[in-house]
Amino acid sequence: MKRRDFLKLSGGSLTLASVPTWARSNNPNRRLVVFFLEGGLDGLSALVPKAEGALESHRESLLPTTLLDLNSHWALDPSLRNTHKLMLSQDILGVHATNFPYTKRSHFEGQNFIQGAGKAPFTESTGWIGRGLDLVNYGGRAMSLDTPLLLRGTTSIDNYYPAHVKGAYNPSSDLLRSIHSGLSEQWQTTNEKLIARVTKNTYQSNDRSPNALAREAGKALSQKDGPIAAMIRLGGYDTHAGQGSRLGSKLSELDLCISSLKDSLGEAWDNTTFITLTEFGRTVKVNGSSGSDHGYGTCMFIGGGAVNGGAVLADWPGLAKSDLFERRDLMATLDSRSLCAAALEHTLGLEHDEIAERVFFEPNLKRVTDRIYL
Amino acid sequence: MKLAYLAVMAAVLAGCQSATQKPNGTNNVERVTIESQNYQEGMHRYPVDAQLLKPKLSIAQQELAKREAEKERNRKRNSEMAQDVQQASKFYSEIDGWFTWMTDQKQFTAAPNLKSKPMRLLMADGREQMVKGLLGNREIEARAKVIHFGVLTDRSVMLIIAPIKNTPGSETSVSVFNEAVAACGTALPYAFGDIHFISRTTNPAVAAKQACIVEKTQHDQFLRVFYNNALSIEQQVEGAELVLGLSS
Repeated sequence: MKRRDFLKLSGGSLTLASVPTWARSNNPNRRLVVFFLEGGLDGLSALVPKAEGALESHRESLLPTTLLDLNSHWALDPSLRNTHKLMLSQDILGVHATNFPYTKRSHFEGQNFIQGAGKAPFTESTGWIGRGLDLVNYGGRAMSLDTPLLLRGTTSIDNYYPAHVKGAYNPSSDLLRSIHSGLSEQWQTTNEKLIARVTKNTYQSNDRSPNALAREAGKALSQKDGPIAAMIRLGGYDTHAGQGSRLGSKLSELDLCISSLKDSLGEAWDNTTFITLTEFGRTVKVNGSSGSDHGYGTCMFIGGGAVNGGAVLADWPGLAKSDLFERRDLMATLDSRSLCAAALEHTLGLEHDEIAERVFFEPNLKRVTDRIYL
Repeated sequence: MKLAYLAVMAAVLAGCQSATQKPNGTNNVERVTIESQNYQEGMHRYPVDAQLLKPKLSIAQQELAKREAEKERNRKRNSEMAQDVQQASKFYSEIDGWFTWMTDQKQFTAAPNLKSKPMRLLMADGREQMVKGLLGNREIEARAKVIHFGVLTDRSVMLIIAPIKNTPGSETSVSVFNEAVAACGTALPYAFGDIHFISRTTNPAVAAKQACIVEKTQHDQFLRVFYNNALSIEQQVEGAELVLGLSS
């Protein structure tokens, strides 16, 4: 199977990093969610720099006919209706011309680099959220087949996959049920309570659509002793051909996920930050298949109740040929690691300098927390 | 020979091991440095246009605002309804099964319990009934549907009346009503009391207008269906013999 096929087939998946109550010390109610948009999001289509004169000449056929206006400079793709509402109500911040400092345009390298956040792809065995959790001595549990690199740390993290497909065997509750009839009446009552507890504490979801996973994540994160971080993978952003409708449906999916996350979090939304990450942006110029190819700079969305939203942050580089990275890609002028560091600082209550040095191994990483949060 | 074989195998294994360390086909771990990233020095905040911007509220504040808005809507609605009910009471009464239905110039009094049958509604009492009475000086026989929303409120009634011995198409208001109810997918289009005096088939626009007097929610599916149909019917049916005083 080719990498591209693999990326196309990748559906959504949810990974939660749980934290035992006893381990918490700082900001026990704050949560962090990462939507990982696999394939490389075309940031110029999602968050459109509509005032940019060169935009039409580069990619007129990729531009949607209608846009959701934000201000005279920026607009959103029409598929992002909920995101638009949340930007207007100041809960989401758009960030443009940004990315991790990775320019090689490889899906697997890029995804690894953005999760590992080392000095180069494939150099780290832990992820930046995992290392952040380590610093506050939070243990964790990844509820997925594999623990994604992003959440891997070194402190007591284990792995459990909730394989609750229809008819799946549940050892604990099945065992309790098998001995039920042989117990005395009094013990049967106790056993029923145990079964109920096992069932209640078991992660159950047959619907693995990204939207359902976002809803599950919100429910789990909103629990008092629930997980502190979640990663939701959304595939299908590798839009080499027929980008218009394909990207529209993918953005609708993301939009729905954000909305579902907010709804299912309830009041916990006020203490939650979500960020979108993608391995790279896409070429500024439309290709011969009405799509775009792997690029560099892209956009991010950062949202949550504590986020100082209602704006777009950018050090806009322009789209003239000379302004582009290698004369083809949107230049990334903001280091996404700074934004991730801000999310960690806010969520885990760590000092920025410590995050810069021990999580991102970049002591000079700029602090932007005050630009992101209220 | 054995030594040579082992040497070859060791070389192959060493090659495989080094190959696994090569990310994306290269053996060099390249340190990523992008000089062009200026980071936050040039970061500019482009706020959403002031006229689009909404106040940032916590979830608790949003809930509170929603509840307050709902309260205000209900208060306004109740106030308007009270006025409408007061006005309506001047024109309609039903005592011991007798309808008395007055207009500015005319009065229609219907005989009680003539071929009455229950409408089997889920949330209200309702009956379908043939009525016979006088409209002004003219005798009229009609089909009426009377719905009391007594379960929900003690002051609401819907009366739909369609003369059946009059002009062609005279049952249209009843059929439009049925269509509208079907479109709502529920036995009752309203969960809260509303009053409708839907007067004459021959001028359903008047009826729709009167329905709108009380129920101001133009987005309501029932009214939309009813009103749209009423407008189209109006173009087909001539005459508007009866205009109720309720029309504002």
